[in-house]
Amino acid sequence: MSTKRVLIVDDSATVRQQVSQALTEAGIEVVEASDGQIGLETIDSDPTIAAVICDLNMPRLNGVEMLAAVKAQAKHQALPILMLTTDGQPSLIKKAKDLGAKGWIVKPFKAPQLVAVVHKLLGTNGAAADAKPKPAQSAGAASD
Amino acid sequence: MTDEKTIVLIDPEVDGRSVLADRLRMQGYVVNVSGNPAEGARAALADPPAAVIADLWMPSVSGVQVCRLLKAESATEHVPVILRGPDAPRNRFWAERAGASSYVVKGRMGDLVRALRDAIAATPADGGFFTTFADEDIRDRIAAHLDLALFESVLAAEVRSLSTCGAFDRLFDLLSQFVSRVTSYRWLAVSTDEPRRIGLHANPSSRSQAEQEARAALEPGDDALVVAVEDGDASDAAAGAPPMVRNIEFGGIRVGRLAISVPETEVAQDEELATIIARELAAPIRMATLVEESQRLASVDVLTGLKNRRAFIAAAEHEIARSQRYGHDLSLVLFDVDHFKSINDKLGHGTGDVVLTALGRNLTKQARTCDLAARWGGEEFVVLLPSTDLSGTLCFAERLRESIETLFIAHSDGRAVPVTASIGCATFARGDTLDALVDRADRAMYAAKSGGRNRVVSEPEARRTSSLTLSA
Repeated sequence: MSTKRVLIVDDSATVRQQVSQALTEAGIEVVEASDGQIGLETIDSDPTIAAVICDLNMPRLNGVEMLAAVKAQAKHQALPILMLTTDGQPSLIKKAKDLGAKGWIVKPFKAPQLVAVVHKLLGTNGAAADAKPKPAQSAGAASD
Repeated sequence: MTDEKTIVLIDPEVDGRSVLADRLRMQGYVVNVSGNPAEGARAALADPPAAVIADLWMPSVSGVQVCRLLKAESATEHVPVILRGPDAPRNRFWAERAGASSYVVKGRMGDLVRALRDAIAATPADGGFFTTFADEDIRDRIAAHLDLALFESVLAAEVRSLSTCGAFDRLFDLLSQFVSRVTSYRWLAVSTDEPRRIGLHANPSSRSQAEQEARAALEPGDDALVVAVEDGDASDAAAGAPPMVRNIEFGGIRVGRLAISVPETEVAQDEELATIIARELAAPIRMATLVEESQRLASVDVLTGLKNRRAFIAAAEHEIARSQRYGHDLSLVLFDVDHFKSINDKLGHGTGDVVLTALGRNLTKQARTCDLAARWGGEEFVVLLPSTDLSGTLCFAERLRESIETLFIAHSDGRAVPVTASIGCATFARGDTLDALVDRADRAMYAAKSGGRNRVVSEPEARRTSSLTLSA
């Protein structure tokens, strides 16, 4: 699979737009979902999703519930999921870790940090992307 | 990924840290150097390294604070932290209490390299979970963890202070008052294994359901007594999350269990609370049980299982005050085993003890639950009968006399030991003291003895007989 895309799950259009912009400018393709339920369906149906950035408080299915539902499926064990939220409650962070989340980012986030983290998760070359925004994807494809 | 181990080195001294970093790089480590403790901690959380080395004393945030933060965070709880500082036992102690894997005296390079190698070797593999905070959040985070640690330590001290209660009922009452202020629960229950009982705090409107759920959670045995506290401090919510259950262990032995049923939303933060309470409750529970047991032993006559004289007097004084207040009848029966000395002399003290034990058991069987039966001393027994007039007492005494006469008590050779008793009865008169009442029953008992034994005599009867004798 040459295309690796990042799914952004957040009920706030503003946050989706911020995250999306930060990643797109770094040459990372994104897909958006407006709640956990849609996020879960997208993960199940779109095999190009290689990482997920997920909000905590959302209608229908919240972030922790979505995380649990995704990780309950064997085929998604390796899918890295990042929680992105203003909440930093230690018990929630612990729960996310235990459920199999890859990381927890407390907002406000800095675009370069988020980009670096996503590159690391995708196994793409972040340094190359910083120098030349466009070839980020080709770096990922070249390593395949 | 390579096998290279990354170390986060936090040291505010510019020269010192570059020398140290070079020495560590020579050992094959990748060293991420930071002069600012908060920034160093943030870096460790964002990309958990193989180990963190920090100075004990640093401006703004100390090494101990960095260590506590990293140990409290899910991302770095497994990362070994090595603290460096001056050679002082107190520093070492405090570093270890903060969770540091070791404390190394500054300047001892060999010690540091060894400590680092050992700590990394002892670290289990972790999934690489990370947490990213904004730089300015780190200090708030340290303060929040410190506050939580302080809260837990105060909580533990409050529970431990229940050690002075001396009785389970009181201990549980105070515990429920305290815990209901800390969290909102549907019910709180504590069981003890010996004796088997449950302390239960629930809302009056849902008490029976709470008891059912607490019994199911704690499995204290069907015969466990329930000590209930009912008030509105417990929530009346119909359903909650599955109860949190913890064993209460003292010196590795289970002494009881704790269960709390909280609303679904409270579970995450109350898991830790339940663990702390159960841990700290062990000593108070053990203490209360021991005090109760020693009180029981001090009030029970070991041979007969009846109350001893001291316990009888205390309970009887209480009963007299109550009868006087409500104008109820109250009577007393005193009896003495006939020819007990000759049983002891001819059949031995062992048989004498068997007789006393059998009489104690028989008396427990004959007495009603509200009656107060005790061994008065030697071969004398006493029963206080509340709400019973003289004729009722005579009836009871006669039944008792007959039960003793027909009691089969075996001597060690299998032969029956014939036992009878002489019984005196007296009833309470306004203004009586316990001494006066016992004294009158005693006179009646002697009248029964002198009248030929194995009989019941009431005190008025004894008085008539003696005045008859006097006038004769």
